[in-house]
Amino acid sequence: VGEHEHRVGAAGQQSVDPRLEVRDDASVERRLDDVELRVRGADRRDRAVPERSSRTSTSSGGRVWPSSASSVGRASGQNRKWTITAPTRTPPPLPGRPRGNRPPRLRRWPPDVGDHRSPARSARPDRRTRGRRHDRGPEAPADETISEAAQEQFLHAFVELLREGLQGGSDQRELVMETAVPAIVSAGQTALDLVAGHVAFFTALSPPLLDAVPERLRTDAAAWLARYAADYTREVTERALAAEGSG
Amino acid sequence: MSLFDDIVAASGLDELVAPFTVSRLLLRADVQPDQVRPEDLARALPELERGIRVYLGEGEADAAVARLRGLAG
Repeated sequence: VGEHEHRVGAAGQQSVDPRLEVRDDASVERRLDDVELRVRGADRRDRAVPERSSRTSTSSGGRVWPSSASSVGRASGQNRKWTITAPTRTPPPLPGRPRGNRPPRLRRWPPDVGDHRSPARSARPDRRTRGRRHDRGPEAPADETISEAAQEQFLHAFVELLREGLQGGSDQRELVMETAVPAIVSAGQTALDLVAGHVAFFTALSPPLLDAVPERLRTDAAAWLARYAADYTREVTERALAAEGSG
Repeated sequence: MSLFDDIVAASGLDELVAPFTVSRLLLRADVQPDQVRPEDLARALPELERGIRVYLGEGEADAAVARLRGLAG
């Protein structure tokens, strides 16, 4: 197991847990495919499970969880839609379980958490009214700023970042932070929007992700994911604030 | 359209992130986005491909890379 990705522990205390090492566990791959397809609202029975021929490995030669992350990424169909629903005023559905057979249309990245704004905040001038949305026009609702195609690509990127995080790298994450965050800010979302969205996103995504992990590894995987989510959200926020300041 | 615009279009990336991403990837390859020439693009192709594959699935990325190779001559 890589030296970085599986150092997990509560409250920042790091420890290497060998239980996170998964060797050739095909069931993990199958379950991750389940997660990925559930996230996207596809019925996996209608789709061929993508071929999994490669496994990620670290320089030390160990298998890492999730070993099928790359295949999860490859499984991103062009026509599938999200099913992690943006919470609304009604209680959100169970993560990964779409309402009915039709996933909702999410127009933000990450998914919005509904009408969470305080009256004071709502009264403030909104960045989205400052004419930064280019060709979409000032009348376009703010929630229309992130297309479904963009969301699809962001989801793919996120899966890649998770895989990279498990392997201990950061190049891809750096690229996404340098490009996607300023792009999203330029489209009108604020740093606070991004914080709210990422909290909702990780909260919704974690259960189906962790469901895909063998039970004996789940506690440690949850700790790793929690730390990753916190660090990721903090970095997004820092980048967004910087982009706002330079915008 | 400039070659940069062509690269952005060929990248297959969503219009929201494409200009940012292509610019950043060109800079990583020591290519100035506003002065990119076909030979620069050829040199930057590996970097562009790595970045594009972060966002795109395998088939889309393959198609995008083929388009970029075409632009590079």
